[in-house]
Amino acid sequence: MIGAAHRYLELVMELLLERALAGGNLQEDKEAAYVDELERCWWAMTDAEQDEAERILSQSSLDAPLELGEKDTIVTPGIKEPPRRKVLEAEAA
Amino acid sequence: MYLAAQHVRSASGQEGINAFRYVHGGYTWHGLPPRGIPDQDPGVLVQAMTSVPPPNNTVRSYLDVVAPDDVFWPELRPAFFAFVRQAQLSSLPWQGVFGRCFFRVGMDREMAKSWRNEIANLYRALESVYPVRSL
Repeated sequence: MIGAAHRYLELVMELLLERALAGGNLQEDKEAAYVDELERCWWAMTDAEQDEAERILSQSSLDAPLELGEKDTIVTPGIKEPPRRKVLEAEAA
Repeated sequence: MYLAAQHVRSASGQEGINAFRYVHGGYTWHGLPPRGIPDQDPGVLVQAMTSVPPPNNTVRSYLDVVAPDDVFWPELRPAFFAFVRQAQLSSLPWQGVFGRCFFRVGMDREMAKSWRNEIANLYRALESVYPVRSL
């Protein structure tokens, strides 16, 4: 995907993240600016691009490992230890 | 500077987000952080916010930001958005460099079902240890 279609996907993702960061709702003027730009991109896209964008956006979950395999560590101000380690490193420490 | 927010679960099932800020004392760089930062050399811990007391909690998700100490939110936030925009169609974990900021995001499969909200929660936790008012 290039051009309007690529920009459309970027904007939707950014809008959803902005909403999440704002705790659910964005200020009206900020939301309106996104809607205007999204509409412009949407109508510049072909039917096939619109279908593909809808398909991608319907996949809300991402592939990820079952577990991260990391444990947190004791950290106190002034020390130089990272806040977590791989489980094997943590057990060896 | 190393900012780390991590969602942890204790052995008893308590869950929460802990966040940490480390500094490198004026040592600066561009692009990728120098070798060893943050895993071998996280810097000196100067602030922590813990809702589940460490150690030995299982890490379920994390958001790491590594940047020179003089990077503040007006530089960090747009770099973070650029990072997420590029990364969000790929499998977790993510990592990337935007401007002077290096980012890493990881989460387990259950957390990844609501990854945007989780990233937002982690990001807000970073703000608690690196307040916007420090501009």
